[in-house]
Amino acid sequence: MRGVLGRREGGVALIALLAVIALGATYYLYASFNASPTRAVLAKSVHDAEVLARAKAALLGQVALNTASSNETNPGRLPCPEAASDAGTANEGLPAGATPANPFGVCAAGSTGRLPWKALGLEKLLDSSGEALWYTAGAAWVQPSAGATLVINSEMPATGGLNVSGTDAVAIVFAPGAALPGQTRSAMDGTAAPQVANYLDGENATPLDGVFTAQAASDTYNDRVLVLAREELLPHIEAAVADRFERQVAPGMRDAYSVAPWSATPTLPFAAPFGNPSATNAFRGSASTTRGLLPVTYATSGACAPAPCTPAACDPSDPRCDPSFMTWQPAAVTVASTGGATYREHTCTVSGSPQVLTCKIRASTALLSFSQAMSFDMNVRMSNVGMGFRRVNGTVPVAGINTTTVNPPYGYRINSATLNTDGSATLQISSRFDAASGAILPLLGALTCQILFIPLCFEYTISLPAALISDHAVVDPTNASTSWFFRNRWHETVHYAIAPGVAPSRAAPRGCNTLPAATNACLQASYLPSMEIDEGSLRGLVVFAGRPLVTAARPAGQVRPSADPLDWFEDANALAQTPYAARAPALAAQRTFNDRIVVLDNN
Amino acid sequence: MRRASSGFSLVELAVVAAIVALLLGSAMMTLSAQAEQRAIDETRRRLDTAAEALVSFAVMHGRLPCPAVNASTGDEAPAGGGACTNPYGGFLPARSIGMQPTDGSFYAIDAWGNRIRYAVSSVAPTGCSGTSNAPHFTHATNLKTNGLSCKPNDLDIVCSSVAAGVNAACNTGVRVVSAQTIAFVVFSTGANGALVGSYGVDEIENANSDARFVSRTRSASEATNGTYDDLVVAVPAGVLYSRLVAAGVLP
Repeated sequence: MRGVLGRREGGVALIALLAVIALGATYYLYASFNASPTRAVLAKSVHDAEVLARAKAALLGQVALNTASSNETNPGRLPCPEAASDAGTANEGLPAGATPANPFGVCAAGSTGRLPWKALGLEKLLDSSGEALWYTAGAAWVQPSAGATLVINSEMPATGGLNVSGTDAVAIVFAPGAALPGQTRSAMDGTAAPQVANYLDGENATPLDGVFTAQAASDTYNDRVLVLAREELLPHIEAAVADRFERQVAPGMRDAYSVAPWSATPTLPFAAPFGNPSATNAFRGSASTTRGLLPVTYATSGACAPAPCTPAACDPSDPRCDPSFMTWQPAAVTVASTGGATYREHTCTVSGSPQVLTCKIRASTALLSFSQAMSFDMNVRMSNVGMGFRRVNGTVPVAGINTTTVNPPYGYRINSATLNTDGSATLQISSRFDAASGAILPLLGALTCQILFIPLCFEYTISLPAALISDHAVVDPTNASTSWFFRNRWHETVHYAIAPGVAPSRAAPRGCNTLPAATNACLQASYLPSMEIDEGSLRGLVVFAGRPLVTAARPAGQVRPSADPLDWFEDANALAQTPYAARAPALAAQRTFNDRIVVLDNN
Repeated sequence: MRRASSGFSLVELAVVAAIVALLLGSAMMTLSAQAEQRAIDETRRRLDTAAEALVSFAVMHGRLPCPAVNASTGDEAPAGGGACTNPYGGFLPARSIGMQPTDGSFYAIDAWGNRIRYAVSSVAPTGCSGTSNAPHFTHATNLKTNGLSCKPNDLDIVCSSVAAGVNAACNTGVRVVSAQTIAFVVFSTGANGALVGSYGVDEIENANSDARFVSRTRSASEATNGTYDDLVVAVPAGVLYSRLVAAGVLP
C-alpha cells in the first residue's frame, strides 16, 4: 500500500502508540490504586487517631471494671505502663509488676512505657509507623508499691498530675511515630529494654517532670498524643463505685437493724445532719434526722479472736472514731430473778471510755436456804445506738457472772434487742450469778432488803462493757469488703436519706407505704434504672454527688468542701425534695447533672 | 529484486510483546494484591461495624445477642437471648442487630461473601462483687444483677493453636490478650473461608466452636501452622461496660 506521499507504511507508529497507551494505562491503574502522598499522610493520621481512641476506650473500660472488682483495694486507680524490661518477654503487654492478684501492677511515679495492651483486653495496637503505643499515668493514680494505698474519689486527687501543653491529664497515650534522627528503636526481643527517649519526642521524652507536649508534627516531633482527662475518667469510676457500693456496702446497711436479734422490720439509722463532710465531720446520726450524711461513726476497730474478747478501740485520729458516743443509761436498768435467790434491788454506775456499766444487784434467800446463786434477766439501755450502724455483740466478756451455765463460755445470752424511738437500744440479757459471787451483806446492808433478818441478803456485781453493742461490720475499718469505701473517703461525697417510717423514731412495727400513700409514704426517685416504673417504694437511699459541675444554682461551679448541698448535688437532690432524681435527662444533656442514686432498701 | 525491509522483524516484535506482557503482568499482580487488600480492609471495616452494632444492641436491650445458627436465618438463637444455642460457633445475628450487607439467608457476610462469625462469653463470670448468675452477657437481668465487676471467664485469644513459642511473636504467654478480658469476638474466615480443606490448624481452631480463638498475622500454607487469613476483632468487657454505664444501663 502506498501513502499519500508515496511511501510505504510499516505500521510502526501504531505499535508504538499501542505501547504508549499500554504503558499509560498501566501507570494509571497503578496510580489509581496508590493513594497520593497527601492521602497517605491523611490515612496514617486517621489510623493513629483510631488506635489511640481504641486504646483510650479500653483503658476507661478496664479501669471501671477493675474499680468494681471486689478485691481491688484502690478502686479508681490506673494500670501501670509495661515495664521496659518486659518488652519481648512473657510479661509483654502487661502492667509493670502485674500479678493475678494485682492485675494493674505497681510502678514508680512518672513511669512511662508501652501501653499494657493485654491487660486492657486489646491486641497489640500499632500506630501508622508500626510502633506499639506508649502510655503514662499520673503519680497519684497508680500504685507505687505493693500494698500501698491511694485515696481516689470524686474530689481526690484534685488533679490528674500530668501537664500536657498546659492541660491537666490523668493519663496520656502516645503513638510514637517513626524514629527521628538520633532515635534508635529496640528489637523488642527481650535483649535491650526500650528507652523512652528513643520513642517519644521533645518534652515527652523526659516524663519524670510530668510535663508533656501535644503539638503539630515537625522534623523534631512526630508523636501523636491522646489525653485522658480527670473529667472523662471520673464518671466511669463513680459508676463502678456505685455498683460496688450496691453490692458490698448497701446490704450490710440494710440489714443492720432489720434482722435478729433486732425486731425484724425494716429499720435504718438516723442521718447525720448535713454539714461540711470533708473536714472533721464525725458522721454521727442525730435523733429525728432523716436526710443528711451517712451515719458512719464507729467505736472499735476489727473483730477480736478468740472470743470472748473485746474489740480494740478505734483510731482517735479518725474524725469518725468516737468510742464515747454511745453511753449506758444506768437509770433504765431493770433486773428480774428467774431462779435461785430473789431479786431485791440494784444500783448501777458507769465509768471509763468506752463506758462500762457496773451494777450491784441485791438479792435474798430464805433463812434456812444457803443457795446464793441467782438466774436473772436484765434489761440495759444504751443511748445513741440508732445514730450509727451497730450490732449486738454477744461475745464480749462480762465480769461477775457464771460463765459455764448460760451460753458458755460467755455466761450470758442476749435474748432481744430493741431500737427505741429516741435512738437508744435496749438489750435483754439472761445470765446467772454463782453462789460464791454473792457477798453476804452486813446487817445494815441487809436492812435494805426490807425484810429484816428473815432472809439472808446478798450483793452481786456485774460489769457490762459498751462493746455489747459494737460497730456493725459495714463500718469496721478492717472489713475487707467495705473498708475501701471509707478509706477512699467516698462517704464524704454521699447524701443519705430514709423514709421517716423506717427511722428509729417510728414506733415498731416500722415500714413505709408505697406511693400513692396518704400517710407514712416511702421515698421516691425518678428514672431509677433498677425499676421499670418508679413506684415510690424506697425505704432508704444514698446519692453519690459525683465531681463538681457548673449548675443552674451554681453558675460559677460547685465549690467544695462545702456545707451547702447545692455544692454537692443537683436538681431535687440538693433541695431535699422528693422525688429524688436518679437521672435528669434535660440536665444531663447539658452536663449539669451527675448524681447517682443507690437504693439501700425498698418495699 | 529484493525489496527493502520496513517495520519490525519478528524478533523485535517478540521483544516488544514480551516487555508489554511483563509490564501488564506486573500491573495485574499489583492489581490483584490491591484488590485483596481492599477486601481485607472492607472486611475489617465490616467487623468493626459489627462490633459497634453489637455494643449498640447491648445498650438497647441490656444484653448482648446470642450468635445466630444455621437454622435461625440471621436471628439470634434462641430468640430473646439467655443461654445461647451455640455461643462460640455461631454467626453474627445480622437480622437481630440490623447489620448489612447480608446473604440471601440474612447472615452478614465479609468481602469474600462468607458469613461473619460471632462468639460471646457465656459461662459464669468471675470476680463479681457478690453473687452471680450465668449466662452473664446474654441475659439482661443477670447482667444487671451481676454488675460490672464481673469478668468474662471463657473467651481466650491466642496467637497459636499449637503450643507456646511456636510463633516468635507469641512469646511464651501465647495469649494475645489477658485472660478474663474479652466479652465477645467477631471474625471473618478470610478469603479461603469457603474452601473446605484449605484451612491451617489455626483457622480450624477458630471454626471448632470452642472458646479459644487464634488471632495472628496472615500466613501462607508453608508457614508454621499453615495458612491463616482469618480476621479477628475481640471486644473487651471493659469497653462494653463503659458504654453501658454511659448509656445509663449499668450500674
